[in-house]
Amino acid sequence: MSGDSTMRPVAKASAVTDLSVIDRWLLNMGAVLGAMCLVLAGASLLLGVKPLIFASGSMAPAMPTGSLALAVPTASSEVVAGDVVSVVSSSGTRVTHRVVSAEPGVGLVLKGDANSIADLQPFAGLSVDRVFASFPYVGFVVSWLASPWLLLLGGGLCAYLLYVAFGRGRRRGSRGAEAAPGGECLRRNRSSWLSGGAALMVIAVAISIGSAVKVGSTEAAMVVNAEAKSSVTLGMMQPPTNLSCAENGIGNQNIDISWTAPSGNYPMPVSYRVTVGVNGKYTTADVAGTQQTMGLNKESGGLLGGVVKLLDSLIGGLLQLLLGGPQDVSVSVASIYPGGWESPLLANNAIAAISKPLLNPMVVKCK
Amino acid sequence: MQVKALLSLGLLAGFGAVSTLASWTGEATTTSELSAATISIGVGESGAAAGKDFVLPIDGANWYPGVSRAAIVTVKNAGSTPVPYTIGATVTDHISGQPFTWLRVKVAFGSTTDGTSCTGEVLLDNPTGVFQGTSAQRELAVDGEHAVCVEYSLQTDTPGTAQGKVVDVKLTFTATLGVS
Repeated sequence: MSGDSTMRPVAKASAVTDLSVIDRWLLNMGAVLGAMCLVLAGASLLLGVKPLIFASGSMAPAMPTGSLALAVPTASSEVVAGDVVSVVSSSGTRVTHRVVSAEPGVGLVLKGDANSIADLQPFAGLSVDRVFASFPYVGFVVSWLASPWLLLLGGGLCAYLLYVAFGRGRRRGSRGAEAAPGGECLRRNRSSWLSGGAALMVIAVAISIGSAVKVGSTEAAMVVNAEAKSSVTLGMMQPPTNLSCAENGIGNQNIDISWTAPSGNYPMPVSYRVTVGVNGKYTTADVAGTQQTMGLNKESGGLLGGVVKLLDSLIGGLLQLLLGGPQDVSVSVASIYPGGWESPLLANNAIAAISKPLLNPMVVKCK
Repeated sequence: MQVKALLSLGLLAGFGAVSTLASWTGEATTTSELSAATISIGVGESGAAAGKDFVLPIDGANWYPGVSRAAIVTVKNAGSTPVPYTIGATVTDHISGQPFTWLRVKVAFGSTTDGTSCTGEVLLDNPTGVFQGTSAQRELAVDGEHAVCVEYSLQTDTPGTAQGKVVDVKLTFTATLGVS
């Protein structure tokens, strides 16, 4: 390496002086831009910094279409409202929006600054890319620079610079080395090594160009909506009206209870629920029409008969009860509507009375 | 000088890396597509102007268990680009604002023949009284229209305590560009 250290400045100096102003300017520019790109690419690879290009304007005016943003991976739990984060939605599209709220269990509610409403689904993933810097319109430039033609042009420039640096430079270096033959071998080795390295890089770059003809983007999604709505009012089911009692037949063994169907803009009741009560005992039956005959006959299975039977079966029986005087018969009727809805009750607590005249059978009379 | 030449290669490597990384993390977009489109979606009656708010022709008082009604809503794209849209819905008690689970709402990509029920592919419904998120996305072309059928039906086992309630139904048609 001692030969190298003594010979190198000589070769370099002679080569540099041979270069034209344009060549030197191109070399310097290429070196500076290239170094910048390498640093950026290194940061991307090592720190996970992701460049994002905004393909739509829902984050305007902070990040208009064509902005370039830089984002780093961050745990969702560390994100607070107001941060701008980039996530991959359930459809696989990358979306960059501002965090409206971050609640455990719900996830991150995101909303574009230019959108009137938040995104439909909160983001529930564990990791997001938090945007820490953005540059308006730089995305256009980057997108443009990454086009295949520009990369091809860049490739050409690099090839030319490599030729200037290694091709021409090495020939001139060889001529200059005639004054010191002992160092030639070392120089040749070094040049070969550099050339090999350069060739490898060119191949790597060529692969990059081949695979990276597209620049990624982030779609700061735009959201608009429209609403269709209406209200429906559930009906208040109406009770029947005009509950009345009429004598039926001779001997006062039966009465006719009738009522009037509810009127108005309502569905017709499908049936009526009639309840008959005597002294706290009740029987209930659903009746199709608006009239029901009730008899004292226990075997009829009728409503009143049912109550009579019920009371008779009790200790003391109905007869014992009637010795204390006539017993009121209560009747209540509710309308039953389609779907089973029941109206409020139409009731009369003393529409008739059962009594037991001395030496005569039990009778029921309207009051 | 040779070092400089090699550094200049970084120009390509850098852009290559950025491009490659970006293509891992985002959807591909070329420069020519980097333009801001306008999106707009409206709803209305078929053949009529579509707006942001539309009152469905399903209303009325005296609903009781078993009643069902259906109507057609037209979704229109008034923007400059095709957009996918989703449909979401809420059914709430007008007074309390709480979900009302007895009114079934079905949105179908179809039609109604009798004005009481919808036929066609069901996009959104709440068979248990609760909507499971929004409908799947459907693409709507520029100036395109989709007729969707909306059906309300009051469950036959709706309790009588629901009598007299006012129930609000709201369908939200959301068009998004770039996100599902």
